[in-house]
Amino acid sequence: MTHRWIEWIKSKWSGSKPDVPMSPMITCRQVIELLSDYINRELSPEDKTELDQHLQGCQNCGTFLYTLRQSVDLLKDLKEEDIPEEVNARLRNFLRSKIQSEK
Amino acid sequence: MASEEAAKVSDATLVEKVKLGDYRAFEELVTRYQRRAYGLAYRLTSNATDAEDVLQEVFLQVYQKIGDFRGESAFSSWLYKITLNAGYMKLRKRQRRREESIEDALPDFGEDGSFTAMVSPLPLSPENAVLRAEAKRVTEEAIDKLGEDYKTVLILRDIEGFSASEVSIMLGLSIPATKSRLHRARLFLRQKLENYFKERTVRTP
Repeated sequence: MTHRWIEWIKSKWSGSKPDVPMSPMITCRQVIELLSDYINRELSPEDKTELDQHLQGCQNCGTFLYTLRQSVDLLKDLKEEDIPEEVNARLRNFLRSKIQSEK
Repeated sequence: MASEEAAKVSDATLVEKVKLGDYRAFEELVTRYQRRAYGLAYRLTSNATDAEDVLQEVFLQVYQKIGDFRGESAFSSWLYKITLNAGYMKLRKRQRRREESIEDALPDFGEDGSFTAMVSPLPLSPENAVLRAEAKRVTEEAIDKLGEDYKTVLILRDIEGFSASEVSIMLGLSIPATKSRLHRARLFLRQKLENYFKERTVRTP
């Protein structure tokens, strides 16, 4: 355990391990990586608390989160592309002729 | 089968009937799923003509391969898989490839891990139909520019509404890989929207 702490402190000071998961010094780069999980409500409570703390003090990350949500909402609007009536009619004709010719 | 009566029958029952050669049951399956298959094909190919070709190919394959469908998964997942494969074939045959690298559209960070530029808000409100329509167009263009791996996950998760585990099974990917692709694709789209509206503000101050 002690060994891990020493490693952690070393990595903090040297800055050589930017991928140390969650730390009190969580950066914008790390925050951005977690935002999809945040939107999908899949973050652990600890990660969520850290992220919320960062978001409170960081305007850029706040805007980034908001615009990411807006982007995902725009995708939802794309669901259910209407199928044009003539496409439907051609599909039925195509299937009938193909399948009958196979019989 | 009268259409009202058919509407109450489960997919599994219809599939069994089709296996016995019931063409009406097949037509009922087409009625149930044509819109979803067309929607997925349209999103994959970003083109109405290609989407129609894919749609025809998909239901022909459904009829021809129904004997192979063992009912271990839902009929809808099986249909989605056929649609994805037919869509990929179409994409690969098509000459024009407008794919862009996903990394190019990710934000820049300084050495300390903070943003190097201000993040701009998107001027989207439910009341402003013009801006929403523009955003929809930019979204469709962004999807078209995504690489196949990212595009498929984005469509299945955020447009079609499948869960991460459903998508991972459908595509034969791990859940972390599915999540990571979804996240990258969302970042790509967000960046395209931000860039578009930033330039728009410059054009029309």
